[in-house]
Amino acid sequence: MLVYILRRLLMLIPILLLVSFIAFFVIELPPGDWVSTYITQLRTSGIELSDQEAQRLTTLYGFDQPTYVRYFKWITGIVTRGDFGWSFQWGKPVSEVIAERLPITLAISLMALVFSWLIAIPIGIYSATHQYSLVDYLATFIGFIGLATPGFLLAMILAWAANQYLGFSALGLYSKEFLDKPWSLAKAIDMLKHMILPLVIIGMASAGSTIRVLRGNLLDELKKQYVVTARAKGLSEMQLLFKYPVRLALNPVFSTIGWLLPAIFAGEVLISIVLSVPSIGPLLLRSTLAQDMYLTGSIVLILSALTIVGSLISDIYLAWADPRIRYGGLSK
Amino acid sequence: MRKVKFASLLVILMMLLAACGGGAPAAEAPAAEAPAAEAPAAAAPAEAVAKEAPMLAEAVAAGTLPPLEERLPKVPFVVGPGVLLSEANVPNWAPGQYGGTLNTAHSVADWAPDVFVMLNEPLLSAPDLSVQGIRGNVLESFEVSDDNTVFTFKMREGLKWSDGVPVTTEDVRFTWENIYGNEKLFPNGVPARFRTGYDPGGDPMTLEILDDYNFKLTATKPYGGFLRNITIEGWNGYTVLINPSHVLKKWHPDFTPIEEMKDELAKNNLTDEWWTLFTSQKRCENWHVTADRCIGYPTLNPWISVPSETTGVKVFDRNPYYWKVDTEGKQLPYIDRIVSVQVEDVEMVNQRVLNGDVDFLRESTGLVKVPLYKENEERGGFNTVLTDMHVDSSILYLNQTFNDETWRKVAQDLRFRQALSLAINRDEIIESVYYGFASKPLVSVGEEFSEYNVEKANALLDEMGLTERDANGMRMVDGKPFSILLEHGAHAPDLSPVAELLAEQFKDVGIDLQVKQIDPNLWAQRRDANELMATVFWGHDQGWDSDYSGNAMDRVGRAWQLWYNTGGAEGEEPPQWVKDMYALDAARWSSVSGSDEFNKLKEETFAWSRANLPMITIVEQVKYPMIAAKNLRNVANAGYAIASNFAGEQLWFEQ
Repeated sequence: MLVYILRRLLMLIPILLLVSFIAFFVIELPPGDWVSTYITQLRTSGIELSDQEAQRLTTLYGFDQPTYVRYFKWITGIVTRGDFGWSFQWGKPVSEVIAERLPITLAISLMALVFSWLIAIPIGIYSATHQYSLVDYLATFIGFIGLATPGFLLAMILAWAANQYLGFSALGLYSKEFLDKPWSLAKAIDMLKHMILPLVIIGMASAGSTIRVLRGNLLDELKKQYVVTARAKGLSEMQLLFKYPVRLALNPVFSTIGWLLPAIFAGEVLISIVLSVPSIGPLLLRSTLAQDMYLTGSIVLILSALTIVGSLISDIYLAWADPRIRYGGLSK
Repeated sequence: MRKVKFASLLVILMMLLAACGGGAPAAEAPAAEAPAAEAPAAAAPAEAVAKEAPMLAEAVAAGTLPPLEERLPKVPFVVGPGVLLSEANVPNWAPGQYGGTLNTAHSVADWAPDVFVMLNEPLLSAPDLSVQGIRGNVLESFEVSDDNTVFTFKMREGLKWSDGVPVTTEDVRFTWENIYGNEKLFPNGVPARFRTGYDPGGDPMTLEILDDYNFKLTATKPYGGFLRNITIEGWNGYTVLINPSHVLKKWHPDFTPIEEMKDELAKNNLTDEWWTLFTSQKRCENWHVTADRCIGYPTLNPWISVPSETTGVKVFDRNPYYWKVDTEGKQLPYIDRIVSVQVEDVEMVNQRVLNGDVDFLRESTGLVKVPLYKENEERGGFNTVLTDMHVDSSILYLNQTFNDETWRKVAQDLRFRQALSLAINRDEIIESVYYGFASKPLVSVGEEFSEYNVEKANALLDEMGLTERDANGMRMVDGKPFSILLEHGAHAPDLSPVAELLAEQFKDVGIDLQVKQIDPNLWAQRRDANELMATVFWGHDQGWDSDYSGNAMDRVGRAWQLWYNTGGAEGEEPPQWVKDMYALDAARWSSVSGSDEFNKLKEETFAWSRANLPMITIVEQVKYPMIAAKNLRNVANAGYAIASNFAGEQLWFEQ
């Protein structure tokens, strides 16, 4: 087991290097570079730069060097000093830009995840055990709505409704009065109020799918013979349910940790944009559009690392939780 | 010496007299009556009008800030009716009350355009952002020699950076010799605005420091347009000539050995490249004022960037050393603080407006949204002011030097451009794209060719010999199908619908126009490489010099422009009518901006545009919504929206 984990971890290194290489070059593919994007932005605001001035900026920011030289400098910085480089767009080191947004992103993603599990798991279990009951139909209905409605649309409608009927401005994380105020209890409460909407919307989408997955799996399990045997042996219904079928039915849910990890890091992009939540998802979108390549490259790199580590964790979890996988692997 | 200063002064004086019955001090003259002198600040605070904001008075009382008279220059800039914006545009200007926070929002990373414009201070200024009546701003006054070559400037004695350090000619000398004169920072020497005729290849001006507060710039040839160039042209602000040398010397090898910068360089992944550190991090040029890295950097702006408590929120507090006062001698600005919040998309800026979370907004508004704004005005507590946009948002450009012989033959024929202009149903475009808030291009196209006349357009095309038509009724050239490929970058929301409408309307005269939207960067690349056949793009309003002539040539004939910019070394020699325009531009740049001579040349440039139709303007005077809180005062109700934005220091909240 330990050797297996070590081997997987070692494999990370070449994969990540390859990913960083591809990410960096893909960002460089579209015409122009960050300086030209920047100049276009200045022009939009009526600031004219001459050809000479543009040339000067290109040289000053080091964009006259070939791509591979810049890639090499960047990756050496990461490997030797843990330095992710400079974000041109934000005028700060990449690590600082990401660190600024990380707490909010993690808080919202994790809370949304817990929220969705808290809702989805009990509902999923209940609808499977009470198949075709009224509650099951209701849960199925809500689950499908959660699955089928694009989150950003829901976000827009709810944000509008909150403003129209409750007079509550749901955009961003703070009310206007608290924007420039130091942290206080009132500000924290205000922030929590603003987090309800993103939590519910992000939670809804994943809750919908979790309900469906859990219900389907549990229904399969409940029909199996060991359940009948256990019941025949007189095991109480609750004990039976939670000790065997639910545990098995939850496996697919937990095995998604592999892609949950990067999702938690990036946050939901579209919903964050619509509700103006300053998370990492919109940051990535923005930096890609502006060809801010060190920032984009770094986020892509971190996301890839998290995906790989995440799938490793879910593999380990499955092996640990499910003896069939553990022994099945050994017998071959 | 021609005393331009007095001409403009007189105008201001007269406006002030008319407005205030002679009670107000004029913009620059009466130094003796400057408020600081007659305000024994602490002596009788109870009855007298407070000359400074309460928050600053407290700091003075606590001993953390010097008294007002030590913070103001000897001759402050006096703001009254008609000074920043003409009285026609702000009919009921009134001195204001201190206090309040102005909330706004921005969607671009680390860039708050509305705040940027509000903070801007150029070296010289004129009411309404025009060129008429240019006067001192950051600089106190100026004189121009009779031949328009020698410019003598007087700085404001006692003017201080926002950290309290005096501003002197040393800051000018440092900018000129150590920044522009450094070949690492400026390999090509001083920027074009400091070269005769605003020509990148022109002779650079020479700087002579007279004493601590006076300096002289000399051009080799007449260059009266220099005044315009240090007024608002390009939004470059005072940093083109004045930079805080006391801060920057720490990061310049002429004053500080590179060894001492090593730590900071290493932090940024650099070894010896001090010039990158200097440019990208240590020096804040005018357009960096809203950047996070410029927090704490000394400025001369009405508000200064301060650290924010919340990620993504930019906070600007009043500059205690700001050098403008109102007619009552009260130090400006009136508003205590500006707060701009970063949102993740431009649409969300508008959403904040509807929610009533925005007190002022210009950059991110859209004409399309006027009905939505109107509907939410009461609930959101704001007014929608329809003012002029400073750009004429859509112009059809045909690149007459595009590399295709057939195309050149057709596009270079004046009759073709006239026919296209006649084929445009401008009324339809004005109604459907601009909701009626625009007018026909009478200045740049003229009445004759801005009318909609398909018959006449067809006649002109037939006269050119384009009589042959293909199966679809489209005109052919030399027996081959002819089509115009129009590529645009969707820089503004109206470009795409206008281009689509043009394609429809040109069908009626048998011209095939294909529209393609491309990435703005690719657009710029193709334009520079002379690969754009046709495009729609904006041009600045007529108030902006050269935008209807020389500056537009990269879209009208890129190869001609290259020829001109390189002094004939590259590109292609333009025909006489284009050369005439370059001569007109040169003459206008050599005349004093805003003078009779200048105005006459400007008229001639428009006449040239009407006669040659180098570009086909679709509409002029497009309106633009500006959002202002209902209790915000001294807001313009006409003129350029951006000019009102620019005059932020005179805004105040009625409480």
